[in-house]
Parts: sequence; structure tokens; C-alpha cells
Amino acid sequence: MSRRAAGLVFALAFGVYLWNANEWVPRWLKAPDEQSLRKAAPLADLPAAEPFAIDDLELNPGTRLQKVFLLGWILPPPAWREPGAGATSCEIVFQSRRAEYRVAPEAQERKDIRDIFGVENPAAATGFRARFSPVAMKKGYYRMGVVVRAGTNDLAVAWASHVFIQDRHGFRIR
Amino acid sequence: MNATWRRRAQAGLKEFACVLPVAWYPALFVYFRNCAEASFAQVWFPLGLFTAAAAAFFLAFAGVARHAAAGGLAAMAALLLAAFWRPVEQFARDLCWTVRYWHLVPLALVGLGLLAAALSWAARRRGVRLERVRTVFAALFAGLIVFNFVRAAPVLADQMRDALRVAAAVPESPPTPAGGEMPNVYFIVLDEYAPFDQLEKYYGVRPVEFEAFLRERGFNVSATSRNPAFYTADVLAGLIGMAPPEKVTRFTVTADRRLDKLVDCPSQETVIRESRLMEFFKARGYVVYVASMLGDIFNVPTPLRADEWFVLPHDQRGISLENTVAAAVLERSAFEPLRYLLPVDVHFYNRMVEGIFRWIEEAGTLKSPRFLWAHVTCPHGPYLFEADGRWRHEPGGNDDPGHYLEQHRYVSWRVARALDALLAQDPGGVVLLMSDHSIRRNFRLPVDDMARIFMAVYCRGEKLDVEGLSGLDAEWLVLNRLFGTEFPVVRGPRPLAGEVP
Repeated sequence: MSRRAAGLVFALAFGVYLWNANEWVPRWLKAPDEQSLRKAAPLADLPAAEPFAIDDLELNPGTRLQKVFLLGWILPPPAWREPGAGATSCEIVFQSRRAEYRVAPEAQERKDIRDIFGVENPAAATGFRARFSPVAMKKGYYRMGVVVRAGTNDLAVAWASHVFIQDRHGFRIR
Repeated sequence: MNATWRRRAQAGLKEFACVLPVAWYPALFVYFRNCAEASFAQVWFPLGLFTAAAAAFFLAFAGVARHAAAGGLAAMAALLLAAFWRPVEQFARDLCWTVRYWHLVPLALVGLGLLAAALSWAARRRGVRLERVRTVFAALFAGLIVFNFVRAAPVLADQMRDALRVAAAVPESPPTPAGGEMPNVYFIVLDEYAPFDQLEKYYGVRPVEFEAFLRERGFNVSATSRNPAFYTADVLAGLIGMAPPEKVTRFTVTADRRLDKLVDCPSQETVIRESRLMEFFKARGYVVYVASMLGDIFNVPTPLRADEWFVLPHDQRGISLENTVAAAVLERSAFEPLRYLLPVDVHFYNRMVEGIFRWIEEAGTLKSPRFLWAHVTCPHGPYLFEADGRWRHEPGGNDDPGHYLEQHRYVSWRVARALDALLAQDPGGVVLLMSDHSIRRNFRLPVDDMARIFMAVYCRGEKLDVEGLSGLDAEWLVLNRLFGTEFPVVRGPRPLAGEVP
């Protein structure tokens, strides 16, 4: 390959890397117990999921990867709490006018929540824990929700009261 | 190896030798500027890192350019860019906020490679004498290293003299005070704990519950206390040396009384080593207990004399990079992400703070009569506590003042809980609870505000007028009351000792 051609290929590859780096680099650098943000299709209208709670939310806009730490729980719809109902999971969704992103958190066993609310379905996820980098998110104001899913189907969503802003000062609560 | 290769290797080594002063300058600059606090052992890691980086840059750029001098000059540019990376990154992000570290580093490397190629072309085709340019840069940075060494020489000489000096003789045992009373004495310093009015001024809040606790428990609280210094080392030198220190950090101020320039930063290690306050109590038959985070967390030599030191259990100990030359060099450089690869435990700080508060709570089990000195570097950063005491996963940055407030709130209720337990066990004890200075926000606040301190004294439930006293004057007042000494307590604010007119 001539030097000019090699230079062009390199420049092209470099350009592709620069364009996608904000998405790729956090994914390459994430720790084993962390999750990746991904772009998602707009959320359809879903019934409200309740109750739910955010137990802990930590933001780090001053750091390079601006890791967000999130801990909470949510109950599946009543029909999914009974024994024999299928498995459910949850995803964290960040929605703005321009874009939507999702994170698949790590499931947490919340026996206290199960006992209090009588969730007898052992395959129904209740607690969640997420740690991820939001640097790939476009500029804007975001609301955060927790979506209950069965497989790839969204069942219900609960919206948190927090509004986040992503801009030059980092990802933080408005 | 034939003659050509030997000649090339020698030329390459000569070029690399010219790059080394540029590689070594950042670490040596930081060390010489802070040699009063830092030991030379802290320099090895950043020196090694930058030397390795210099070798990598030189080989890479010399290979790209096929010209040793061009590679050397590009390596020098790369090292300077790496050392002063933060402002460059900030400038780029100000232009386009979506640009990040992982865009800029590859762009910089490509740009420097092109620079090396361009320099090589200029040398081969245009006859530019790159050897002269590299000699100028090498001499410049070697000269800067020597200049900074010469500036630091008096401090280094002092340190050598202090190391050879014999420690002060232990004072003779004085007579036991009338009545033979020897109450337990607890001296707790909360680093950067802002007094209530300063918290109100800068945050609009007041720790009313903590105020009420102090009142109900019989603490004598001063609302207007101020120290004659706002640097921890100078304040501690006064408290531990039991006298205003001979040398203090000197500085000039702007028209609006904010810090302008530092003139001198003397080491207080000798005063700390003499530990007059600890020796004072030992001479009177006290058992001296000491807890200090300065050595473990902040790498500031604190050779206090004590009968027993607070230490964390072995499985809870850790390594801290705070206040080291390595941290100071790394955090501004392009190699900053390497900090996260080092075996540093960020929550060592949390364990020390909680451990010391627990130790104070359980002080009733220690031998009597006891003098307990505890210096807790909280709410001073790093900001790793939420207000309810939960640990942050990563330190909160200095740019968000809310992190300080969270930590101030944490300390308020945590120290109240510790004192509540302590006084329940030892109501006849004496507690001096104070800060060394107020909130500083990277030394951007007015010097008179930074010198304000929180001050509360519990003296066996008795009334004691501590209003307006500095930390040292409060210490003197208590010692005069307990032991019949005649220290000259000064009422009213002492002038700032280090201010240069």
C-alpha cells in the first residue's frame, strides 16, 4: 500500500475513533461491576410502576468519566408479583427531547422489599444497582425513570423527581 | 555492533541526555517549592515516570522523523505538554465541551509526530541546525532546575541542621497543683471546621443542633475567635510548641485582603518534634495519647512525642497520595489517569476519621490521668463523606462548595456524638475543641475570614470566658486554670503573624 493510501486509511480510522470515542472509551474502561450506557428508542406510553425508590444517587461531574452511582428498588406490576409469573428485570432510562439512553443495572436481592410488599415471584427483580459513565449523553435536560421489563418487553415505568442537566459543567442534578 | 551503529547510539544517547532536564523539571520544581513539607523520597516515582515517558517519546518521535535531534525536540515538546496538561485540556474543553481527554491525547501524539517529521524535513532540506535549538532548551531547563535548587537551599540546609540538632531537654517535673487534681484533658482539632457565623456567611446555614448540644453540655463557646495564622502547620506549631512560632508562613495580601503571594513557607517539623505540649503533660504524670492524620494521609512529617499513638488495625490501613510530590505532579499532568492504577486506597481517609472519632468515644477506657491530642483533618478535604456519614465512592471535587458543607455537617453531628459518649464517662474532664482555621476555598477567601476559628471549651462543667481567644490563648487559659501556670493570655484578636506589609 502506498504511503499516501496508508495515511488516508489511518486518517479515516482516526476520524471514526474521534467521532465515537465518548461512547467507546467509557465502555472499554468500565470495571467488571459497572454498566454501559446505550442509545435507546423512545419509550412508548407505559403504565406507572409503583412503588419505587431511589436510595442513593451519587454524581461526579468533576471527574473525567463522571461516574454515576445509583441504588434503588422498584416493584413489578401486581400480576408479576405472584408465584409462577415470569421473570422481570429493570432498566434505568434517561430521556430528553433529543435523545434517550438506557442502562441495564445489576439486580439486587431486596428481601426487605419483597417481604413488606408480598412479592412472591422469585424471578421478579426488585432491587437495582448501577454505576456508569454518562459522558456519551448529548447536551440537554434529562428525566430519569426506571422501566420494568419482562424479557424485551417494557411493562411499566416509574419517573423519578430528579431532573438532570448535561452540559459543559458535567452531568449533574439541575 | 559496527562503527555506524555505535555512532548512532552515541548520538541518540546524547540527544536523549538533552531531553532529561525537561523530563525532570516538573517533579524537581514541585519538590523544591515544597521541600519544607515533602521528603526527597517522594520525588523518585514522578522522576522515574517522566524519565520513562521521555525515553518512549524520544524513541517514537526519532523513529517517525528518522532524525535524533528532531525526535529529541518533539520529545521535549511532548514532555512539556504532558506536564502542563490540565490548562491545555481545560482550554480545549472551553472551546468544545464534548472534547475529552481521550480525544486530546491521540490528537496531541499525532500532532507531535507531525512536528517531529516537519523538524526532520527542516533539518534535511533547509539545513536548520536543530542541535543548537535542543542545546538551548536543555540548558534552559537545567538552569531552571539549578535556580529552584538554589532558592530551596536555605530550607534544605535548615532541615539538615535540624536533623543533626539534639532534641530539647525534657523540662523538670513541676510541683503537683494544689489539691493534687489531675483531670483528663482532651485536645481535639477539627481541621478547617468553620465557625458558625462563617458557615452562615458562606452557606446561609447554621448547625443549630450542634450549637444546642454544646450549650446543653456546658461548653464555653466563643463566637469571635481567630488565630494569627490560617496555615495548619503554623497553627499546630503554636499549639504544640505552647508559644507563637518563631517562623511562620509569610505572605502579601491584595487591596481587598485576599492572599496575593507567598513569601516564605518554613518547616515546623522541629517544633513538632520537640512536642512541648505533650512533654508538659508527661512531666506532670499524664499518659499522652496522640491521633494525627497528617502523616498517614497528608504525608506531612508529624513526629509528635506520645506514649501511645492511634493506629488503625492492620487490615484497615492504606496508602495515600494526598499532598505528595507524585500527586501534585500527576494531577496536573497528562498521566493523571495513572493515579487510578496505583494501589492507593481513597477510603483510607474515611477509616481514619471514623477510627479517631470512635477512639475519642472510647477514651474512657484509656489510662488516667490522660492527655489526648486528636487532629482530625475533616471537614478539610478530600471530600469523601456525605452529610449523613455515608462514604462517597469518589472524592468530591474542590469546585463544588457543596461538598465541604456536606462534610461540615457530618463532622458536626459525629463529634457531638463522640463528645456525648466521652463526657458521659468523664464529666470531670476538660475538652478543648477547636479548628485551626476556617473554610479557605483554595485560599481564595479574605485572609481575615480564613483565620477565624471554631472554639469551644468544656472545663469540668465550669464557666470559662474564652470569648475572642485564639487557640493558643485558650490553651494557655486552661493550663493556667488547671495547673496554676502563668501563661500570658491575650484577649482580643492577635494580628496575622505572617502578613508582610
